[in-house]
Amino acid sequence: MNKSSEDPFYKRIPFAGKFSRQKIILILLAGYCLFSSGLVYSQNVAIVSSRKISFFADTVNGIKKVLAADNAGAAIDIFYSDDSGYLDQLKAKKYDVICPLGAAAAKDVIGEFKDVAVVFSLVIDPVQAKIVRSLGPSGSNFCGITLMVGAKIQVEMVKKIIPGLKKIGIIYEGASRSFYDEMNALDGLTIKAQEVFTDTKVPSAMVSFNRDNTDVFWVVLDGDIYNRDSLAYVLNYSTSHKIPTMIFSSNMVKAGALMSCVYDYHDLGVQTGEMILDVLKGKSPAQIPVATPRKLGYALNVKIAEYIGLSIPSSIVQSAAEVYR
Amino acid sequence: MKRAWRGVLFAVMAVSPLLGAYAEQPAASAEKSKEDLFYMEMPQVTVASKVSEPWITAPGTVYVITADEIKRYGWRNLGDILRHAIPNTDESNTLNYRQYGQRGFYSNGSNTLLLMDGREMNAMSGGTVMINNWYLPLDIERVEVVMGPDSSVYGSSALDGVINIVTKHGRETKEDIDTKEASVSLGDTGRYQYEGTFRTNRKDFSIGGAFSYFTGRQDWKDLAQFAVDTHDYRRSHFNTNTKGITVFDNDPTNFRMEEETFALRLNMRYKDFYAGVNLNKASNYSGMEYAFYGFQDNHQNRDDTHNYIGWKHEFENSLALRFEYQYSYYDSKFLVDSNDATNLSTATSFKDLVRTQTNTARNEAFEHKLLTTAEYQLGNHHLLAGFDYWTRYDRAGSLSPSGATFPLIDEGYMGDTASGRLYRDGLYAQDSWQVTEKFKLVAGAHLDDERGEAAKRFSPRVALIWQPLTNSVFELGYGEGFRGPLAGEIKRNNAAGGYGLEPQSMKMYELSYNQLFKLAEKWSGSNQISLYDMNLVNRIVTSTGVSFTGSATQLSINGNGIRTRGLEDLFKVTNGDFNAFLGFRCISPTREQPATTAADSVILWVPRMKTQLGVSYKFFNMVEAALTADYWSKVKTAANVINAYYQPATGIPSEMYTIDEHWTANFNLNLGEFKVENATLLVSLYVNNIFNDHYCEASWAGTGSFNPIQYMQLPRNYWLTAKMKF
Repeated sequence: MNKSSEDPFYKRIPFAGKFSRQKIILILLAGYCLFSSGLVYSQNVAIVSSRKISFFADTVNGIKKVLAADNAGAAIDIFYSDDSGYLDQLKAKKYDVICPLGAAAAKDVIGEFKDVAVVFSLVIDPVQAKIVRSLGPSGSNFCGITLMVGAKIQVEMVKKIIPGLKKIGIIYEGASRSFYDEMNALDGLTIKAQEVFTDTKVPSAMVSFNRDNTDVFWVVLDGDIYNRDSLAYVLNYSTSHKIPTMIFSSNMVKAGALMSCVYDYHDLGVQTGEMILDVLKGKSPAQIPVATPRKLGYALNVKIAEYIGLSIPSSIVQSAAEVYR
Repeated sequence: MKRAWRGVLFAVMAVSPLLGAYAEQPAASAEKSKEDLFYMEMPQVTVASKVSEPWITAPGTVYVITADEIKRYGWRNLGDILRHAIPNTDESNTLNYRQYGQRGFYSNGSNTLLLMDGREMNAMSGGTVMINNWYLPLDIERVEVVMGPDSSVYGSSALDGVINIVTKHGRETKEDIDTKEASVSLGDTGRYQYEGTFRTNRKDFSIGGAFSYFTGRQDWKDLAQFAVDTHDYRRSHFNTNTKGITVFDNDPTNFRMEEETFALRLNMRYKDFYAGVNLNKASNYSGMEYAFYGFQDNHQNRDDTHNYIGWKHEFENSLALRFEYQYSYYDSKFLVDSNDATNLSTATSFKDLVRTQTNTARNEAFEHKLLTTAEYQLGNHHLLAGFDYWTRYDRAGSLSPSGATFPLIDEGYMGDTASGRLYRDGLYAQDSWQVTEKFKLVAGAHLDDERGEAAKRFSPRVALIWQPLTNSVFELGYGEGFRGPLAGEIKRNNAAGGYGLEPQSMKMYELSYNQLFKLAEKWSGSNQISLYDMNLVNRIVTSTGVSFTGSATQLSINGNGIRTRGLEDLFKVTNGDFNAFLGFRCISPTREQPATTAADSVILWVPRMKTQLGVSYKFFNMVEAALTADYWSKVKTAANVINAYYQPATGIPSEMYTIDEHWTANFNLNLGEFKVENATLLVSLYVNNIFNDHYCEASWAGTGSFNPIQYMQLPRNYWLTAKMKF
């Protein structure tokens, strides 16, 4: 009797008796390699990046990692929304999912493709960008991930740095009004706000804030009132008046703000990749609500903290994603 | 002039159909603006005190020229950038190796420190800053310039000022980190310029590189004719000028200048480790010298390679350390050619004129540097300290007549047979102390030891920075700088007992005011004003003819102070589409060149007043037209100094002249950015000297060193560039 015919392993595999166990394993491995090498991908995914910067590259790598780890695999093509004719190139090939990164690419792709599933990511505010009407399920061919983090979550993060946080200073205008309203609705906080309409009014609004009436000054992400000049003013003013600043990006922490939330862009890619996989496996994008980043970290400027006399717990400094000294 | 305007008009008409197409493009969305803000980085400078800080509160007067400005005004090389954008600069020599200085001080052996991404790039022979075609604009992210001495952190060579070129390929920021750009330019008289730069970054590893190649066969016949016509201060071959003095005569048809320049840069980083190389090569046939010297020319080949490897780590306790080792190699071959002039009428290349090489010289230098830096934040004190070790081995030789090889016949330099090796230790420390909300005090010092070749040098700096308003800063500063002796300058008089050469040194008092301002809705700008007093001692100047093996005194030390006071201002304003700047300088030299005194040497050989104006406007968010105009006041200059070289008995200089005030204008047109496949194409047209004005300023600063012309404005010429961003 052939030994292999008694082996449970062989019984599960048709025609297994004709091959040794080692040969079958080798054939399966070769098949796996062939599959994973992209030669026999059954599905196609296009990633369209709005920017050629490292954050986006990290996200792309995260997406690739997830799709490569899936047994079904998917062929991935990369495009940049700055390149002319990229939409035509997208149309020339049948894609199962298109994944635009950033607002520019998301608007282009969603506006152009009505019958292809779209999973967007790295969009700061998809509602204001008029990509979605709300953060719920779109009911259409697209879903995605926003970078927008609610005021409550951010305030909780700031409280770990400034435990007695009560008074928040903020300058806002129309586009950032909703964030101000959201913050105003939080319990236990006093919001000292100045509404301005242009960047030129920021300096005169800023002088009303001091260490006594402001535990932290919140710099909202609003391109109508903040630019390099007005930000330079705010950072200089807050530092010289020893007011801690919570700002929208780690680049500004490097430039002199106290802290910001930062994203793990690779993990955002993984999160995006998982959403793409769900769609590839049959889930309708119309049913998927807009997700938010699941990992948030700190960017801290300890030099500024020392200067303004703020002691940050060493455990937070050690676990911070970015520390500027 | 009509021709120039016709050319501009034609260019505008040629692109006008494109304007409508571009105007149809949608404006940037609010979300895009928000994203731009989200990923934006704030500009900082590092050149003033080796730490990253806003320019407005950096100690000293610091000017920053960005890549956007370079693109806007069409500047073609580092020389253009410094000449047009910085309000108080000077340069010597003409079209090939421009040599640079600030606030009226410059010489062939430049006393300005040139850095690329913080690393010294001065040519090792003579310490010269060569600002011309080794540093082309595509790879430049920004240029930071410190005016005045800054040896307290940089040590030797930071005498007149410091220039730091921050490159795209070496950038450490996250913004636009994956960059690929290439450009090709075509100019009059066979000038071609090719450039490329890239940078890519992944999590722990990044790599960047850049290259540039320039070639030109610059037969400026107009210029040569002009040189002949202006007898008053030309130096031609054996003729009598309008002053009745025998000078050299010149044949304008012989004016040639050929140049070939190549640069390659590479930079890699992995976590805290980094390494790179900067390589420069240049070959020149300088017809300017030919035009003025008759049957002779400079033919120079220069190789300049800087390699570095280092480690930088930021610890969690506010301590940052950096160790870097640099190895540099310099090799120049210098040929003084001559010919028998039998083929002047048939020659098509300057090289064709050369028959024999009557003298050749070669200079090699090897340099090792070990640089250490420590930064520490202690409360309101930002502390910086470091130790630098530097050694250089120079050797030079001469051979006549030339052969195919250049054997080094003299280990030592310029007659010093003892040794060509130099050592220098440097120890420095600096405290940037935020005393109160509005006051900052920066104090530091550099102690250098030349190991017995020269006296120890202590270079302090103190700057008190008062910021009464967030956008206004007053600074009061005192600083010193020095330039250690080069290999050719030490042990000069060994035969007479020898002495350690006291380095050239500069002392400066400065009061400056920096302001950011808003004029109205959407209008913003900045203004920088500086008032200074600078005092240079131990100026080293050439006083007699140079002979590479000569035993006579080759340099004289001017122990007296050369003092100047000056005022400079740089005003910038923008509203997005409209941009303008106005630069101004007024300097007051305390002495002028005596007409017949050899010993006193040249002091200031530059116009007392200079004004620079730049205006640009962007039409339809696409086409940007820019005009720059420079003005120089009248200047005194010497001429026919070459007589002293050939006829030392007559004394030097032989003549002194006043050159009238002068102004010139340049025009640049950027024809927007077009999508071409996966790239963006920018086409631009640059018109240099649109009114075709002539300007020539002779000098005797390089007596015997074949550099009779300090600055010469080229005839009107055109420059077309196509740049691709991938």
